[in-house]
Amino acid sequence: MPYKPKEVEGKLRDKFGFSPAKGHSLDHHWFELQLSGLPPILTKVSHSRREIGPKLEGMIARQLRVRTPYFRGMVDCTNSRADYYRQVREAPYPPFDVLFRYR
Amino acid sequence: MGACTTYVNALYANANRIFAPLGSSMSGGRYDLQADLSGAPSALSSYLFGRIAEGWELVQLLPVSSERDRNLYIMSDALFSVYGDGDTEASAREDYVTSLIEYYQLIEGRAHDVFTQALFQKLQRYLRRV
Repeated sequence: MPYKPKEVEGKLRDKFGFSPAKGHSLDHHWFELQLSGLPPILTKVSHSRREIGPKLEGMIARQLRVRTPYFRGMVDCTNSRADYYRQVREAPYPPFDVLFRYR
Repeated sequence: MGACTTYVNALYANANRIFAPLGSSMSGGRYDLQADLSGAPSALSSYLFGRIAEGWELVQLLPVSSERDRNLYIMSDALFSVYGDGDTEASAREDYVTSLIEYYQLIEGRAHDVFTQALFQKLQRYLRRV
């Protein structure tokens, strides 16, 4: 069952602690999450369609630094906020360019 | 103009596959090239380079991929994980460019720590204000 953009945005905001990215004029809906010791995680949720297709899911997953099945688990509530934060710190995909040490 | 033309000609000469200009982009100081380099069945690899929007320029070839998801066109890059989508390939590219500039502005405004500064420096190696 494809996800709707609002559904994904709601999960990112309410369950995973993302907030709308602000600071300048934006044409798109960007969300950000700042975890200590990491660059900001920024994702754009496309509103060009009523439903997000599998390839767009992959794009959003990549911006969230997880694989597509993990992203689906985030929206389907099988992955918790703590799980996601740990995943991003321990096994981000794609990995960060710089190796960061979390203390 | 001369340096860019030389560079583009060198790309043509060294290409193993066919390069084709995208639209009529050469006239406005914009050098968009599309090249099938990957052989991947689902995505077409190409590069963006030169002036991509008013006040913005790619100073290094940026590899991007174009693909379709049913009737939706998607352009994305693997370096910054930025994507754009639209009803046509051209609108997807336009949306991608807008997204890339937005991404630049977002990172620029948050480059207060060493982690984000490293990411911003990487971004600046490709995209610059003109």
